[in-house]
Amino acid sequence: MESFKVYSNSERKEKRENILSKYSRVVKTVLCDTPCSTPCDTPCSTPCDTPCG
Amino acid sequence: MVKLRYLKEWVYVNNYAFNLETKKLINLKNLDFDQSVIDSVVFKDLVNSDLSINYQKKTANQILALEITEECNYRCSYCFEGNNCQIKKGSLDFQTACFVIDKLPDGSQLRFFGGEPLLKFQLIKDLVKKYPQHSYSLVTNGSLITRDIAQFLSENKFSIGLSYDGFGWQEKNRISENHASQSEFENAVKLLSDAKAYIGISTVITKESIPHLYDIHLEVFDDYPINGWAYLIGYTSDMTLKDLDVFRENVLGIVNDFPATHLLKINDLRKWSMKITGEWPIDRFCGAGACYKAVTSYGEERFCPFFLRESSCYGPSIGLKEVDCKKCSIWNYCKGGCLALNLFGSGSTFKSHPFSCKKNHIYFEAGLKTRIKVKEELENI
Repeated sequence: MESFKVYSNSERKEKRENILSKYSRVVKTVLCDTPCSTPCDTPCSTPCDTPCG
Repeated sequence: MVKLRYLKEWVYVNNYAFNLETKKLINLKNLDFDQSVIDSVVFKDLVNSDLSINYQKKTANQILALEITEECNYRCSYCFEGNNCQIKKGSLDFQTACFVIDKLPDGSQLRFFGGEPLLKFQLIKDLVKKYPQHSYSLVTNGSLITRDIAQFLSENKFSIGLSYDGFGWQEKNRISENHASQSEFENAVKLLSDAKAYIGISTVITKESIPHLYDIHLEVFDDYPINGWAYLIGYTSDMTLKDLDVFRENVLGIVNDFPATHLLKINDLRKWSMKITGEWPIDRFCGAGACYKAVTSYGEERFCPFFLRESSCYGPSIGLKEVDCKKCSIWNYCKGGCLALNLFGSGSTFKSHPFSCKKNHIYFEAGLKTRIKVKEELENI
């Protein structure tokens, strides 16, 4: 049996607002110059399918 | 005046409508247009001149994925390697790993995966010590992370991909020895977060979880302090083309509801938005078989981790000249799609598969919308 979290519309709205407040900072540079192992707030350009932040 | 008679063929993006088949673009603000003008407009011109930002194309990093061990302490029902990881015992040895890593240029990335790579944590430590000139990433279920391991990963700036497939679902389908994969995951997140490690989440999307993709997205980004999210779709055997319609609804829901600064933390949306503006650093779907290689726990080279058990899929590099879908409207962005999905679906890496094709068309649309949001947000800074 599957048992995913299924949110109501109000819960979705609340979670969306939470996420937006967490990640509201706008970045001017979309891509960073460093390899993806470097902790930074911008995405890297590594062509793969696993998360690199 | 030309009427938009074939509505299903058009993709609408802000004030633009784009025809996937003909590559014709229409500015909906100016519906009284001259057909000859429209015919002269090709999509590439728009995205390059209008949507791209100041950007210098990067050189793709070399990535070497090392299957540290094929052994795993979980038996996930939907694992692409099968669910008998506890009876597999193959492990990479230090000398073999060094033999492969020594061929890499400085500044490459070593990606540790398995099985569960932290079952062989000492080998990871030894390799990190020997190769400080490279960067590191790790794909793990997190169950074996301790405070000391979290500290080690943080100090060595690992990019960590914690696998997480949705609350409840993984508790029943990701079977660990103590049947507590949810609490093990949450413990790992806490330890890594306390150590200020860089955390990403990697999610396997199954037929069952496709309708929940939007909510899983809310869950992972709101409930956990993560920096990025990747999800894999199509690598379980039960997907159908119809499932992709539900997938599209969910993905476009995310794209519509969130700003670009958030969307770029989602791997495939970032990847496709880069493809569309030509920022993707390699002239193919992904680095598999070119700048991205995998080594099995037996020391054999593969195109990428999805080819681990495909002994025919090896070699230093593979070309794309044999791919059979070059006339497709999104060929310039897709380049034939995932070679592994092609192989699993069509029996050949070079024969495109309808599932992969439809998925990529969905991503093209989502990536286009993401990129337009990037442009709009940058303009508003």
